[in-house]
Amino acid sequence: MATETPLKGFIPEWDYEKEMKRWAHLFKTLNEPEPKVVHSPRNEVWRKNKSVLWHYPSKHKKYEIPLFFVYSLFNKPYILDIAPKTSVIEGLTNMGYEVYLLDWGSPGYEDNKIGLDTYIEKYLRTAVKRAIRHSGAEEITLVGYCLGGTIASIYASIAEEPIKNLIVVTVPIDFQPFMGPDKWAEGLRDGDMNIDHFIDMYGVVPPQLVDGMFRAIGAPVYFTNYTMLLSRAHDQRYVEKWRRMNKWTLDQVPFAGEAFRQLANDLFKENKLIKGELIIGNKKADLNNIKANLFVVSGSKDNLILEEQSKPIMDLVSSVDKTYVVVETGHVGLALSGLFAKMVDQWVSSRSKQL
Amino acid sequence: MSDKISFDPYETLHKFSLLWEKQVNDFIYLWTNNKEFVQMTNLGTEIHARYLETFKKNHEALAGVLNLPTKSDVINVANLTIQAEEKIEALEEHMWNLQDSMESQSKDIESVVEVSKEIIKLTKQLKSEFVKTKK
Repeated sequence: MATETPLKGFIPEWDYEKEMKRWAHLFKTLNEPEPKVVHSPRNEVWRKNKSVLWHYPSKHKKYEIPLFFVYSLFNKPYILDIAPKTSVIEGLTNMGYEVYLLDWGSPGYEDNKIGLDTYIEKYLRTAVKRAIRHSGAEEITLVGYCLGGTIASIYASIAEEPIKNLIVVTVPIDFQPFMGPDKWAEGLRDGDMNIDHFIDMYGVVPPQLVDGMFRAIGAPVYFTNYTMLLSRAHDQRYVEKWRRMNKWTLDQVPFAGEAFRQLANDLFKENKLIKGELIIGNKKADLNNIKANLFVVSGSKDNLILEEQSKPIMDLVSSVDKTYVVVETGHVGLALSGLFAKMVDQWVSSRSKQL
Repeated sequence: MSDKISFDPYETLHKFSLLWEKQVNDFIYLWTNNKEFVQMTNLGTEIHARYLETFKKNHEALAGVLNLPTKSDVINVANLTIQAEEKIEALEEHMWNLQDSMESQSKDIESVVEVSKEIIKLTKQLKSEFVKTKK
């Protein structure tokens, strides 16, 4: 007769199948080539230098006003269309929206003089014009994610194009609050740290340095993603998701030198956007000029952009219709969970002229 | 049935690694969050940039002697391509404007034709009525 030992429940039961799956998946993940990114069906509308404007047609178009996505300059935008079923773009096209995405591309050394003003005046503005023309719509909804939200907001403040709605997600507007060590921020602001010469020499900031910068601000030592993978490697779906996320995280893009200098000096050091002193082209980018309907989303678990960095936009714009929402998620969690598409739809559907 | 959760060594390893990671990162934060570290980093960056500058100058000089293209030449060529792209864009926009004005003109012409037709119809009507009244 078997007797129960006090260790029963403490010593894990050996599940042969689960362990085989776990180690097989782990071995595959570490040895197989990176997963391929499969995009939702899309067409190229316009191309300039390395930037491409993509159009994701809706299966059953329900709304007249299209959505125009502006992603950050730091990462590749395929996070918005990372996998079927969780893809933000796929979700929105299924809901009846025509979606446009401006992929900034990877700048090379020859793009060292591209600054924020060039990106906004010569790339974003032209892309928006093209999207409006291509869609045949009279107005457009801008959706900016992370730094893309900052760029979209700056553009909206000087735009002559008809922007009906502006949606910004985990957006840095006020650059005074800083997630990283406060002495670093102080050093940059006081001039103890000057990166101008460094940028001049590099031309474009290499992706390894961009990655290193984010690591240094958030978590210089980061290995728990691997232990998390080990603990859940028996689950095929989780492993697939992890692989895609890992690929995207390591897939950084170089940053054009002039744009990086403006970001560091004009936005971070002098906080010109919030003061209404930022000049783009020959226009003052004053957020007070924004009259479009505004929807701002922040993540309460965001370890990169604090809520205090996004919230000030609410008081700076002239929009009458404005909504601010805090979601319990991290910086990219919103794009990965599939929740983002639903949130956008909920807010924008009544503001997009139903057909 | 027991509601005890069985011990999962992988989960425990993950929990411990989270703790270790946080402790190491907190230590690095404390270690680097000071003015001296910022100044040292600035010095390191400046030395690195100067070293790169010297290296680049020598490289450009050597490439000039050997008649080899450098990245600066690539920049010039790339700028020409972008200029050409921008010119095509501007032309395309002009064409859009022309297309739009042609469309609006043809619409105007259509409406003028419609009005003219109406006027002709009315004139004919008036003429026939005038003939009737004359009789």
